[in-house]
Amino acid sequence: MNVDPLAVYFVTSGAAGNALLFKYPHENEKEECFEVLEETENIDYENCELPVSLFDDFRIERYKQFLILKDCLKQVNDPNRLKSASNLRQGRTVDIEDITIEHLLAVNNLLCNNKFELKISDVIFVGFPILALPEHSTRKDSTSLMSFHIAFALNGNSSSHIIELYQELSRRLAVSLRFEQERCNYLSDQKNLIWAIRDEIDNVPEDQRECPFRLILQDDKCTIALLLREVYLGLCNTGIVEVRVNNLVRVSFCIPEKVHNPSQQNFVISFSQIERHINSIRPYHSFIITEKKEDLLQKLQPEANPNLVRIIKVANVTKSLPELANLADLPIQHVFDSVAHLVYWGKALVIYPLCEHNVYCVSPSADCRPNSTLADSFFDECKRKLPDVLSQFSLPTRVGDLFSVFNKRQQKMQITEIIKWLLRHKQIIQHHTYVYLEKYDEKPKTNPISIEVNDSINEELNKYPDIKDILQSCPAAQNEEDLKLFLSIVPHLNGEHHIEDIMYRENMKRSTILTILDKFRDVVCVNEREDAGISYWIS
Amino acid sequence: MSESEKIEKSGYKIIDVQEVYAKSRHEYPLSRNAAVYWYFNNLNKPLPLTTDAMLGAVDEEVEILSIGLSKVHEDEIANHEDIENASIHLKIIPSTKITFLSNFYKFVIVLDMKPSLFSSVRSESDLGVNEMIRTVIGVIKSLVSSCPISSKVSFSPKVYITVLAFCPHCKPLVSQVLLQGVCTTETNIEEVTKSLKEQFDKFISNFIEVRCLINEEYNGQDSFPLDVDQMGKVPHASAHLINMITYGFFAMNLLPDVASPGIVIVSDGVFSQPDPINLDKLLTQLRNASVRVFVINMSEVNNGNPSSLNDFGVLSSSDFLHFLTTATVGACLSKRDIDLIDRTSKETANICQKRLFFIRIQPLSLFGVVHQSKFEFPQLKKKYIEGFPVKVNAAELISVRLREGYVIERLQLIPKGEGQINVYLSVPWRDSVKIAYIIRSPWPFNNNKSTYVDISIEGNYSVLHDLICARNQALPSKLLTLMKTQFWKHLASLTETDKLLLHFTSFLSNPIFFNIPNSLKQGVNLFDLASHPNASSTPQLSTQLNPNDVELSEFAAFWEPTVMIDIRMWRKWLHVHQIILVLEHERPIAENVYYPNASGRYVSITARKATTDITLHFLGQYSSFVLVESLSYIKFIYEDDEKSEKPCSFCVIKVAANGPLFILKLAFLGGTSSVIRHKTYNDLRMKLLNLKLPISDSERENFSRSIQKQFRNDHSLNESLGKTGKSRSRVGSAVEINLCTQIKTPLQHALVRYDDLFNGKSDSPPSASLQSHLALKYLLYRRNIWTIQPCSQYSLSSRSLGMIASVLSKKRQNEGFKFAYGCQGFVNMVIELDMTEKNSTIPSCSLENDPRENELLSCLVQYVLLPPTSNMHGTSERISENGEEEDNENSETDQELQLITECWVEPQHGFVETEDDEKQDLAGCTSQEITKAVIPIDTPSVQ
Repeated sequence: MNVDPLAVYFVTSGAAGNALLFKYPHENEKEECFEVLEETENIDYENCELPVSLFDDFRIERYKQFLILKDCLKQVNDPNRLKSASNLRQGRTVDIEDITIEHLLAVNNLLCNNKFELKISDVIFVGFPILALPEHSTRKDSTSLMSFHIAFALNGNSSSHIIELYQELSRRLAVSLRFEQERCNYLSDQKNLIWAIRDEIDNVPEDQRECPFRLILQDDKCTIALLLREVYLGLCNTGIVEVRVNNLVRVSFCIPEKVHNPSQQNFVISFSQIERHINSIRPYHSFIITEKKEDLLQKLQPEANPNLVRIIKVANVTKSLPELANLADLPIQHVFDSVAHLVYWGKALVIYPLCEHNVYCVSPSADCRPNSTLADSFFDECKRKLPDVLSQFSLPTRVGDLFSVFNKRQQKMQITEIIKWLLRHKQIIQHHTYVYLEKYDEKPKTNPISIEVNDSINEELNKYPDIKDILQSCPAAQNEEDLKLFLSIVPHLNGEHHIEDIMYRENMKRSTILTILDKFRDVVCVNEREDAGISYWIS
Repeated sequence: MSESEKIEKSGYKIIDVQEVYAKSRHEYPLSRNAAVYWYFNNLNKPLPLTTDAMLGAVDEEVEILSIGLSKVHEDEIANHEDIENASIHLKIIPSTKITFLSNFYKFVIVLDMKPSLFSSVRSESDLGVNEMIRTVIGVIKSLVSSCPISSKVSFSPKVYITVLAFCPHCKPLVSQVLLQGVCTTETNIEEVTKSLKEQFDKFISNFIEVRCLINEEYNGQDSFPLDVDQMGKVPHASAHLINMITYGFFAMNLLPDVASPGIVIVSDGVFSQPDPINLDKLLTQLRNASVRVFVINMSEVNNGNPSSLNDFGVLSSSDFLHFLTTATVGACLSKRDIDLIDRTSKETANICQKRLFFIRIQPLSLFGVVHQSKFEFPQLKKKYIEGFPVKVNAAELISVRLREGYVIERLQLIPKGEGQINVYLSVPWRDSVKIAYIIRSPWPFNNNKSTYVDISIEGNYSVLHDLICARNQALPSKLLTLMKTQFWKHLASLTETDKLLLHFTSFLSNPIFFNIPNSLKQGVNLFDLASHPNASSTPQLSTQLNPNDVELSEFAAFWEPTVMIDIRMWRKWLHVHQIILVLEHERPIAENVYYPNASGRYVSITARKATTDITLHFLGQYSSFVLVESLSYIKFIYEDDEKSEKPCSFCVIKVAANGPLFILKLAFLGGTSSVIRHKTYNDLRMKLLNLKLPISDSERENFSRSIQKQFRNDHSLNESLGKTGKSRSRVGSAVEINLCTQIKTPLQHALVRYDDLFNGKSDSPPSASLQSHLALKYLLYRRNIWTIQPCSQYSLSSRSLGMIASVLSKKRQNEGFKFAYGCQGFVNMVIELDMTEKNSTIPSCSLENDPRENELLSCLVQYVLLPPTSNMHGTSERISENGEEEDNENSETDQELQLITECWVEPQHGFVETEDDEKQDLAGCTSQEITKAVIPIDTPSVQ
């Protein structure tokens, strides 16, 4: 499912009628792509090893643009996207006349200040049309601007969640623009600017006319066009919008479906999986930041909570969340919320703290190709070949066992780094041990050994009438202490709790649990699998 | 047989009370001691039902407003026609909810101005900035609307409101005080909110300008420089919240003393956690002044979905805010709560009134609303720390703990045998850690039997481990180590406090403590403080006293701690009142006050005569004995005007004098009734204000004609305002003037003083290097620079400028200004103007009969003369109060002389009211206009 917007539109309506003031990308976009490509053909920017100083600013800008457009083109040329009887030309471009769009999106005042959704065969237009003046405003508007609408065109098969997200984004942009309009007539000024450019074009003979939208973009003063382009490119490239309307009002938005599914990832994470991942955070978990700490810190705007900086700085894959909260001197709830926030924005993953008992296995989506870009970046960072390392995890492997292979301390550090990298790039998954209590349908053949148990244990035993006999048949049950201990973990032996979970809930050591399970091995069975809560592969 | 059983046997029916609303009988707020005494005196005792559901027992301090019963009982009582004769008794039981109310409240609403206000996240249809002002107005409106506490009784306190805008990232040059000291009522609410909105809009447009500039500056960069120190542990931003509260605290001082204080923070909740030491300091400061902190969180959009709707990085620290508010017995409110007020029934108090007006010694639940989270959190564990007996009456102990922020979680009465009561106190110490403090005492309270105390701590496992088990081990982070130290310090301070409490309460137990040794009766001071700064500040027994006198040394041993305790900690045990005076300066004023003498030095303005008059003569006689000469005095308080031999309590008087500024702090023992306290306070105040300073004939000759005129004016002023009874009398040829003037505003905080930075040699006018940055931020300010163009005919020296300055100061004196400070050429003169809400230029009813008289607030005006400077750059600037620098004219000359005067005005809401001719120019001015009004008055003098 493609969650990128097809286009973004800016439509106003007022006394002078409706107008599509700007859209991005516009018709000439495709030709522009080719132009850029042609220009850039001569220099192989990607593999260019010229020192950066040789690039002038213009070229760097161009190069960035090139990369974006190349990506665009790839999708345009993708034969799978071609459809017939569609409002989409080549699957990417909305093939509807501007005048029609103008009519569709400039809505009646009654529909304003509400969510907007309109589907025309395989294109959905979504947005949040809004009156140019808020209801409580005391200002008498002298401008002819009645209402305006920032709308997005989406693929017809977009999920309802995606539609809601885009409507919310449209609302935020609209509210911000309206604030600026009320404060300093921003929209009216921009509108006049655009009209002036259009008037200029109208004076030019028809055959020499340029695309007006392109000219609008070239005008530095027309900040709303630049803003909408930034929004569109942000959504297509990373799924994150981080803009300031008129240099003041911040709009920060994220399409989690896009953020969690970067283009090089070869499987799809759904929103429900992201939600489940967030909701499954437990106090025994830790988190791993998906990019470099410094990069992430730089992305924080001045509005950001300084506590986030603290959390990111103390982040450590070997420490659990309460430990981290303690280290940063922050409330545990706050750390939970912050981690959930980072996960939502695709900046972090919830993991079980790294320790040598952890068992890892190759992930179903691991990139095993020897020359993939992922393998290259792995080689750059860890100086090893990705397929070689992944092969170590072909079978579920305990980290401690790897340590025995790499015995030296330095190598231990190295393996930690490797595991961190693999986790960050979702190349390996962790297996946990789940324990089930076996329930026989028929009575065991051996007669239950009558054991003398004191009343309290008996009482406990009576809570499990269906397993009472089985338990009593177990030799280990003869030891009162063991039986007591085992009974305390019995509620968790339903396959829903892994050993780490039981350790946390019952405040027990791993060795204690393993010993007691071993003693009662006749009545339990174990199974190793992923933690369903934080897994991205279990739907 | 217990009392209640007796009553039950006698045919009375006893009904348990569910709720009690009580308030102070007087206009002063109820002290926590009084509240505790009242509560425990009435606990579990049957009280006869009297008219209108009033509890029978009359208390000196507490008055009951309303009693809530369960529905069944209410019907039952309603059925009795004659309530007086109904055989019903009411009983306050441990589960009865007690709510205390105050007659006056003061709230400082601090708006947290952050860039995140310009973000559309928080509401359906508007930006945070508009939501914020709407919410603030909503809060103010809901506070002044009628507050019914039961079907019959409605409660309408006086509410003083100050609204501040606090801006961390930049310092806008418009006033951050949007509204100060308005006694808001239902009648003036529209006017008040309108003026607030105007001020807010003005502030915002300025704020936006600065914001845009900053955004533009960083536009090209990848990242904003985050406010993080290099060491990486604690971001600087951690001071933000503390600064904000400190700022609010400063504003609080300017509001009337009698009101119950509260700071209301309106914010998006994005705060960095303050570091443990500063947090503890802040909490101590707030608790000592019993300031409750409230937070109105604008960002709670979508419960249970904390991550999705926010901007990246914008996360509300709601857990910490919860902690902060519960730790100061305040509350957290959300924007939604305020929005819903309009839609809720008007029959009960609205949520704002419930949270802000109702003061409880037992909170409904310690950690507030149960945190609705989808996450599972580690369970809290409890660890016992220590237990010990304390030989203090439990009520005293509870009062002190309440002052330290503890709250009564629950009570347990064990009537068996001798009777015992367990009082479960607790204090939130960190967001997830609380200290449980259990007092086990015989019931009813008995002074002669020990009270047992058990302390334990509740928190999650790792915190407890670090605090207790790892007590002597090194911890992995600096923060943790700090936290551990602070925790053990806290426990140690509890013991220290108890020791002193025991010490103070033993005052009446031994006659030696209050029988003043003869040697002291002649006015000899008990202690000497080492004068040179390097010596330890331990008080030494005065050299004039005989150190071998056993009684004397016992007496001295009792009083020694009073000298030793940090004055900021006084409020734990003592009730503190203060009198601020500006003493009459020494006459004549030396000319070198305004300009340097030949060796480049200035003379300071002093009030030595007046100071010694008060400290040596007046206080020496007024007090029972002198503790430390010119510093501390003790006054015994007798129940019946010093007729009895045994005092009932005592009062410590501490003096702080700095030039003409003179501050007296009176501290009464905890539990002293408010009537006695205010009687003593007013008595001393009146006596001080009636002190006279004779002016000799020779000095009188130096009085200029204008000063002579001042007598008349002052006289008429006094008559018109009926102010502090100051008057000047002429006895024969000798003239007596008042020795001091009282200033209601805490001048020690608000006084504008320049540091030594400017020594008169610098070429540029002094930058605003004020001692008190808060005053700088808070007060309205206007600077006038009089540039004197040198011309060939006359040569102007700084002396001639000094002369002009002295003329200006005399002009001010005529207007009633008093010298408050004069050092190194900086001269500060102050006056307090009375303000009314209605513009007095429009004639209204006469003042004397105005019932609202005590609502009148004063406005402190400070006039600062700076030493004359020469301007080398040849440009003269006139900086108006909104920061525009208007270049008047550029002159080519090198040496210009400048005389700088500044006017600092407390941004009090209202209009100046004066009938004094000399001050007619100021009459009817708003505080903002005062700064401007002074210039035209001055202009003729300079010319």
